[in-house]
Amino acid sequence: MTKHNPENERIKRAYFSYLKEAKRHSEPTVDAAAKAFSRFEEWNQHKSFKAFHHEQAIAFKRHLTEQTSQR
Amino acid sequence: MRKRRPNYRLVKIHRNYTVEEIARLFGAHKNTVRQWIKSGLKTLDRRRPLLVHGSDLSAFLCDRKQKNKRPCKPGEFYCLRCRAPKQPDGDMADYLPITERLGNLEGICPECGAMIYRRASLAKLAQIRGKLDITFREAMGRVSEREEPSLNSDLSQR
Repeated sequence: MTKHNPENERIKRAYFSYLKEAKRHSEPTVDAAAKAFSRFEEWNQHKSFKAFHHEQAIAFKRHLTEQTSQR
Repeated sequence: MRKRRPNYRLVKIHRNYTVEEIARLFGAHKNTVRQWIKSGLKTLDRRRPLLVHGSDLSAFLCDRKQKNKRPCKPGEFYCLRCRAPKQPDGDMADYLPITERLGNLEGICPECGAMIYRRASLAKLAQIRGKLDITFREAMGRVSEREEPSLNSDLSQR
């Protein structure tokens, strides 16, 4: 079952539009950012971005380094 | 140009879309997309502008595409009138050869009484037939030769 956090989706949407229009990033670059966000949110169990704390980022980085590559 | 069936692979599953963006992506009208939402496409929440998550949209369109398909099981023919696979009436079908190895199976729809057909090759007939009782009809004979050829000839009248 897919789960989304509507508030987060709206924040992400504004950020992607910033990347595209203000920073003039290409579509694949924005896609890569979107994919990274979704990976973070999946790990984070779709907690609100308003509850973000820098410890979360550190823990996520540790989680990433512990991942084995997919076959 | 607008495609009759929107290609769900164009949707990005990590992004979200407004109604207008979806309409532009597929070249469809905005009201078409609103109709999809009415018929079960999930939105993120009730707030405006309505946002649809890419993974939901992709799954919705993929599901709709699958729903249109009516694959026939062994022993079933597709009835064009009922728009569904049907077991022929009395579990009987005729095999009408087209070539040496290929032919049509012909039966009657049990509900509407229309003729239903299924293309079948002789090699795969065992898989296709299921429990059907198949009679092999011979191909229609060609226009037969007369014993006494007609003496009327347009050429000789000139």
